[in-house]
Amino acid sequence: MIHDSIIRDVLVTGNKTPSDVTKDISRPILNKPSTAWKIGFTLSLVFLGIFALSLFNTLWVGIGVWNINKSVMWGWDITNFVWWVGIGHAGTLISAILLLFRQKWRMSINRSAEAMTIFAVICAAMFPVFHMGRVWVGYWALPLPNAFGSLWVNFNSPLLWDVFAISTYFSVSLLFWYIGLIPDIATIRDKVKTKGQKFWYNFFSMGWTGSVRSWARYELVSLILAGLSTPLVLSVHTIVSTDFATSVIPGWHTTIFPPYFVAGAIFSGFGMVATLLLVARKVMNYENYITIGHLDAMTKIIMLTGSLVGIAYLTELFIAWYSGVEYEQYAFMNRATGPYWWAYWSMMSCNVLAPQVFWFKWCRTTPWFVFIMSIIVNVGMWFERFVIIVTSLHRDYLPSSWVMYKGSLTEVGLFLGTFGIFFTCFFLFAKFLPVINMSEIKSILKNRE
Amino acid sequence: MGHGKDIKIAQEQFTVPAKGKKFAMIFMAVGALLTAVGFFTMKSGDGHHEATAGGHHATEQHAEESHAEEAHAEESHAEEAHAEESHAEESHAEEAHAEAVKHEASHASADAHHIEDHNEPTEAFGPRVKYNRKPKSKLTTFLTSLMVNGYFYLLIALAALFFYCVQFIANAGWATVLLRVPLAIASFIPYAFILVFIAVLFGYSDIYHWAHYNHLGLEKGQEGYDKILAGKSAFLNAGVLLVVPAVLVLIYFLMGRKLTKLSDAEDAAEKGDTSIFKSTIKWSAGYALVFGFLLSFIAWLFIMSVDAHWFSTIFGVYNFATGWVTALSVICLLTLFLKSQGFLKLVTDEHIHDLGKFMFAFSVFWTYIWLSQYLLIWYAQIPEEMIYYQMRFENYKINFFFNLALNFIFPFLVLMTRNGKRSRWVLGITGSIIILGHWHDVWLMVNPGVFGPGQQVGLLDLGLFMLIGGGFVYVVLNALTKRGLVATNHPYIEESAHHDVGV
Amino acid sequence: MGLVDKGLSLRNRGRLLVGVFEDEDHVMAATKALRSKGTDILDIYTPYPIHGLEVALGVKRSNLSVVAFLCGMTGFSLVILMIWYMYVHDWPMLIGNKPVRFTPSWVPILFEGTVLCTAFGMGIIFFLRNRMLHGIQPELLDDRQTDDRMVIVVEADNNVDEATMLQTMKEAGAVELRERIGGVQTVL
Repeated sequence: MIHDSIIRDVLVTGNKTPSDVTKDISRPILNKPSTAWKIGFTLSLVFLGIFALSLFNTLWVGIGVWNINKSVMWGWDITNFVWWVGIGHAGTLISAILLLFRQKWRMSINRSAEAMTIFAVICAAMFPVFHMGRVWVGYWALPLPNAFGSLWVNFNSPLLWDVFAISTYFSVSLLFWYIGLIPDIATIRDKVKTKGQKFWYNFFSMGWTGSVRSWARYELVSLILAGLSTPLVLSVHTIVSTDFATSVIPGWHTTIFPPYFVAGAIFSGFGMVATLLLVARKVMNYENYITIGHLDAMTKIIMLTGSLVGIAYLTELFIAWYSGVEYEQYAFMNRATGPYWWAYWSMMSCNVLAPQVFWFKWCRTTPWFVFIMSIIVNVGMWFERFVIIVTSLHRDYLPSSWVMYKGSLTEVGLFLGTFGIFFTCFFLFAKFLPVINMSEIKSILKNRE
Repeated sequence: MGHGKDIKIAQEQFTVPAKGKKFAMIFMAVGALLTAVGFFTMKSGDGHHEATAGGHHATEQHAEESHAEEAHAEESHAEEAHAEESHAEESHAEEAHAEAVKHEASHASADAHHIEDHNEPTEAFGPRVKYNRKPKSKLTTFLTSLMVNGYFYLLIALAALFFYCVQFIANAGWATVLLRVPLAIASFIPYAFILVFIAVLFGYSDIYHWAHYNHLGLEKGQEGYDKILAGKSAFLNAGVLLVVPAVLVLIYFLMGRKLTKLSDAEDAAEKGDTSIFKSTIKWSAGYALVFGFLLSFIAWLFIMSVDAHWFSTIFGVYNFATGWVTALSVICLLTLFLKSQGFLKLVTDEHIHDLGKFMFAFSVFWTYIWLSQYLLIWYAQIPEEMIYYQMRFENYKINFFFNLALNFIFPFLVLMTRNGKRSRWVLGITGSIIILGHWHDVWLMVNPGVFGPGQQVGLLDLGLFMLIGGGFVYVVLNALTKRGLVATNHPYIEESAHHDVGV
Repeated sequence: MGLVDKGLSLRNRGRLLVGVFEDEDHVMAATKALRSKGTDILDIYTPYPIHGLEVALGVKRSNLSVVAFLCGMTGFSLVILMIWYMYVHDWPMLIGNKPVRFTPSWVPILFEGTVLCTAFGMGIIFFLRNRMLHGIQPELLDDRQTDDRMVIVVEADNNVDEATMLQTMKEAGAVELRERIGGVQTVL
């Protein structure tokens, strides 16, 4: 018996039965790809080509083709790295934290958000890896004995923490995503016709039959993985923030960085989830599964995290003044009124002011508006990282090292190219795997949120 | 589990049980006794001061400040010189540098006693480090303790109201059966604030180093002029200290009143009328907004400014984390108490389990925030920031580790298991330890800054904790009698009564 | 009790009675009714997790959380050992005046390593326990049991007589009753 309050909206509209769910969600997998899919996929491949060209240039000519031979040595590349990692947070957040909070609406969006996490982390990893310059000795970042050419790694370095954090996050997210996928792969396995399809879906379904005992363990494991992933999500962006905050660079060394980076990551991650799902829901006709109620909930989280980020910005400004440290005061003054003022104010207006429109119900429930907002959010979050990195580095302690920085064509190309990686992966995912978690959705058809 | 159970939603009228009254009375009596004993047995000022009290203050302070300023000036000169020279003769600069490092190292080995005995800053952590070792009168000690305790209970009451609001904003149903508990706790906001206010009003020039400095009214160039404190005087002054928190707490209090009125109106309204529920959501969002944005100001003014030269951007979040996890424990303990007295029949092990989960999760959250602050300050080793942990780590080592043990290790290990979270005994004990631990945490934020090395948690602190705690229990239990214990007209009451944590 | 849950396999079983359902409430009712009559249900297959069904079936709570804890402790120890060996014992590095001993800067890697070991340790045990392996052939009783149908399987040599069992399932709302001998099913 379900006791959900009747004033809550139903989670899945359209009076779907379990077999409808299977039909609706496995349709793109069982049928030939649609025209929209083909166009999108081709476009992604074009961007992937841009990535390949830019990468070729970087490797052939050398890291000098990036505009970072100056004090702003992190430039676009670490900006993009932090941006993509941030986006990669929403997936595990949705499936882990929202699972712990028993938010059932997560079930329509967790699958694609987790996929997005994995692809975004792949995109993110590109930047530090190629930023190393001599990428062929990249394995020196691993804890290997001195005989390999490197020394043992430096366990006090936040960059090494990053290596551990990102790889752990990637692999645990992958495991979590895969365990969640197994019952759905089994469903597809029992629907596909061709021999090749049967083989592969059978291979990945690991013999799943849906026994009650399997389900009981499955649910327990999901819960424990969620409990593990929640601090893991927090730790990853915390560690990314320590790349900056353990230093003594004014504007970087500030204790609020860990929670503030995490809030920002969730903020941008939800922005990206909203962008993708609004398109998917339209193109794949998932309006009954990704309802206006989902938009409402997501935009509320965007507003909440946007406000948290806003609190952090204001706290930083205030404490910079309060600290009485002239370097801190200058760093923040320079952000707001220096040569990069436009980046700072873009960040402020996109991240703090713009999401406040979500106090109004119309703004939360109008798909096209949410779509535009979700893009604004991600633009804003890119500027945030740009502001943190570039404005803090372009004014050195030594005025003789003061410079201006802008990304070179190759850096821009690499950034655009990562969209190629991201969307190519995402389109393949949408073709071969169910975009919505069928088994979970079936269990909440009668529930309300 | 949730299947097929038939639960009837019935209103309950709460009357303060004899046990509750007795508990409050005993707590208050013992607290008062301990306070009195603590107050009269206290060696006024920890050893050596009486003589230097009063007029001597200023000069002592002067000496300290000017010395610090000089040292600072010297250092910056040295830096300039260093920079110039490094262009001309590298070897020379290197030598000078090596010398400086040696110099620092020799000072670093100096122990706390050395620091205490000589009225000079420790070079190891930069020239600006100095301990504010004004001798303190008994009254100051009392007022500091009152401030710590009042602030602690204020945090609990504010955070409990936040808990209430969060349930509405998050559209959460599970806690509906126990919502009246946090609402009652919020009724302690004005009492707690009045206590803090009294402490600050009468003690502020003794508790706050900067207030003392402001009294001196030093001009630039005068002996003892402190550039940093002078720069902060627009924020750190008596007016802001007394007015801003008062205004903020007044806002919080009024919003709490409004939310209480709304819940009364809901009880009186027709069944199925959701208009009050909707407006409660709006007011809850409002409270969360002002609470989230402005709590930091209270934390900065009352607590962070105790270490007037120090600053940390995460401090407001840290105070929130402390207050929040304490409030969760208080809610849990009160709920358990009410249940043990036969009230709150709708609250089952499932709800208690969820409260336990919250206590577990936010103990870890507190640790995360604690580590974020400590790790970053420790790592960067900037003197202006190190001063805070230098003091607490060198002179309060036991408290430093005790803090982590009580607030992280104990709840983490005990509440990790499912059975731990479902056992009333375990939760009761862990909840009490979390409360004590965070009380000690607030103590540790304030006392080293006010007294310098050598202070310790005493009977006075404990006495005031119990005295106010007794009053707290009394006020909260009385607040619970004012309205039904169950929000029977709440639209989510049905699903909350059938709540099941699942896996 | 071996590591792999053998009860999940249908191989080497005698005659099996199979009840097919299309509504989760009916399965729940049938399970409770069968159990109250003393039938040992072999297994129930559902396309999605049904809350409370494992309790109705009398499945014990899994010990995977203990496994997770043990894996976590192992991971924690291994990472401590790793950092100690590399950084303190084998080749100490003095960088940025950080001491060569346990410091707060070990915490991030300790945490990540612990999580990694916990997740994968538990994940692998979960797969093994559930008799899951890449490429293993599933033993399905109904080709829609991963879609929208639920299946109750009862071994025929139960201490409750066969007709009662079938009748109970029928009354609870079974849409189809079958028997399965040596992998071949026939509708009853």
